[in-house]
Amino acid sequence: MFKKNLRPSLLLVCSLFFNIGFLFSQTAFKFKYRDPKVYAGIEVGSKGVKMSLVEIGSDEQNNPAFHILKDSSVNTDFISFSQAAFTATLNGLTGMYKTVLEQYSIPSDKVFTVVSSGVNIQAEKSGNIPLIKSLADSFRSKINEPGREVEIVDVLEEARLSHLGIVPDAKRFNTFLIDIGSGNTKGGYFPDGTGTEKFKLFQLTWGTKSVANAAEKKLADDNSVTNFRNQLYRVLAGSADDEIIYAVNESGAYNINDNIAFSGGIAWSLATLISPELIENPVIPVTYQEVEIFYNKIFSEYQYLSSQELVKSLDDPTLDKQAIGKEVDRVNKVFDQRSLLAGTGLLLKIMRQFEGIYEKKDFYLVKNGQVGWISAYVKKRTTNP
Amino acid sequence: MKNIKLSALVIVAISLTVVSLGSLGVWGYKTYFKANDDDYSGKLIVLKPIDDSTQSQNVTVENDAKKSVSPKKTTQADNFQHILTPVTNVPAQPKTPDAETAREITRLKAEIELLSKNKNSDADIKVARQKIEELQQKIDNLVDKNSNVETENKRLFAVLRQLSNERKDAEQKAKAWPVVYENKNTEIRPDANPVATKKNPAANANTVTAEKNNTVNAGSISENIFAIEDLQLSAVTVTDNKEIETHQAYQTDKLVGNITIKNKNFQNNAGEIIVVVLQPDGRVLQKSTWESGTFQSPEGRKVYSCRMRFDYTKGEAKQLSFFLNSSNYQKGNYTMQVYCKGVLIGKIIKTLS
Repeated sequence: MFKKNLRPSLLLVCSLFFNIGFLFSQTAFKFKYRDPKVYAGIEVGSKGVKMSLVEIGSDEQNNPAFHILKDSSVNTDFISFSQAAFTATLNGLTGMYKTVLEQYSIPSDKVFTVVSSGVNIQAEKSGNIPLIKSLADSFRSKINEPGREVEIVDVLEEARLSHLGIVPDAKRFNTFLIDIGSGNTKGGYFPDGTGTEKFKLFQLTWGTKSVANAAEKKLADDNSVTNFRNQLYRVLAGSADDEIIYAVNESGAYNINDNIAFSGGIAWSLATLISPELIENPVIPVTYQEVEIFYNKIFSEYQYLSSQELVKSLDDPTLDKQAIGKEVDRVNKVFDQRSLLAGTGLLLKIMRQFEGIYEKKDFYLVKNGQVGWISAYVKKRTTNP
Repeated sequence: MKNIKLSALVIVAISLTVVSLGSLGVWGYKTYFKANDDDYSGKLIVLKPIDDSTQSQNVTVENDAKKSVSPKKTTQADNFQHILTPVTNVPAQPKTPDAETAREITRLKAEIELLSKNKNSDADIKVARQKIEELQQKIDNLVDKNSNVETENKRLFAVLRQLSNERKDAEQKAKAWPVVYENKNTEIRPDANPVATKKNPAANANTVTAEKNNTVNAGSISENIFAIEDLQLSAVTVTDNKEIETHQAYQTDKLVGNITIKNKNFQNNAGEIIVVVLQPDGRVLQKSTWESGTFQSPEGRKVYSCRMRFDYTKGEAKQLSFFLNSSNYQKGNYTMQVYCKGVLIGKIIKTLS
């Protein structure tokens, strides 16, 4: 009798423990801002599905601010548009949606599901637009919410929302935001100086990974870092240079903007490595010279960019060295020496276009750019539901 | 062997069940009583203290206006008593002197403490809750009073300051020629041709102190490094849209820095200085996340509060100012450091008490 009931009783105990853990997990978030509201954004991107839980509130200067409470992603390679990738993406999307609802108790009206512009562009190129529609329909059916919106955000809207989400209102009309991605670069600014409807889009076909790949292809037999840097120089001085100069001139951004803000993975990694002391800050101001010095450091003193060495170099006792070490480790896991060189090289190339002799622009590295659009999207949806 | 494993599993399962049930029980208990607290909808009763000289041992409770007197009930908290009357029958609390209010608060606190120790009946809990409400009311009154006093203090402080400035100006004007205006703030002048400044420690002894900067001496100032002409850091409180200087941490709304710099040999037309304001706990007070960053100094990388860029004409005494906001200012010394090209060119300390 007892043996018979052993398995159900064990199951009961486990479920009780799970429930208790679940009850207390609701309050586990450490909020940063006043009057925080938690929203979730689930984005189907080129590489996979990304979930971000964002706290939206206001900072000490009463500026609207956001803070990532949790982010998570699953690689599904959706843009290969294979059956396996489709299934993996659908499962990832459904799993994350359920996690947000059940584990974090965020109501469904505060969860936004979108398909990124990168997926849409690739789908258009390969004639796979129906596959996106099919993904959305299957998702609705799986979660049993026929009315659930899965918006396909176009590149212009994504860049505009990122600007609205990342850049504070005080800098709205004099800041050029550039998102350096892995395969491309996009961004823009508000040219009117008054309204946020018109947005001037800026695009490059070069990103951190595509620059690194182009340099790798030129390596031939010499696989050394020195040769990689030389080939990287050639890539950046060649076709990439032409495109960057043309795109920046065409954008007309130089005369209108005082601030040039960079987001994307390389901006996050450089901001973390250049100013580990400001681990809590979502934005780090930098100068062209600082980034240039850092580029040389990546090449010649890469060993000093490990978490141990960086933390050792910090002598301020008020700093949270454990948190700094952890974040530096994350950066080093995502970007190796060559990726850092490629991304920083591309960043410098773009910065160079704004580094005048007489007129100085202010440069910023934005760390949480990947979820910047969520706060703007939430604002847009809550004001115009 | 199988039985041994099985019995171990059973023991583990039983212990886990006990722990789970215990945790759930605690959670349930808390939720239930919290819910009860929130749902309490008894008639609001205001406690009216009786005269201290009346050493009655009875508690008279009136829960209904129609009932004139309820049965006498003796509780274990016999060392305190209140006559409880419905709110409709009680006029606004009479104004009592501060000493009396303080005594009442102390007494109420003691009574609540005693009740909380006893934990007897629902009636005691109700009485305790009422007393807590009364205590809260009294505290709120005191806070209001305090707030009024603070506002009045600020206003008087502003008037005093204005009068004081007028008197100082009159005194300065009354001095025989040549007039030498005394600087109201002590300062450092690490200029190439430093101006002798009389320091008046009595004037601002505990508020602003300046340290002579040894990092940059007159002879070593390079062509592109500015010299400090004047350096001020003041704490400001904003009252009725007017900014008034203060020396109290709790009154401070923002820190305002004023810097005058000069370079007779400057070769460029664009200058830049970096300001670091250290709080009493050693942390840098940041202007905002978009304006605070890090820079390289001879002592290593440092976090700065703000960076100021400006156009400059050779030999001009350039005045720059900035302000820093914080939601909470600590008591103690605030150190403002000014850097140019990574070199410390000036430092001043502001004390908030």
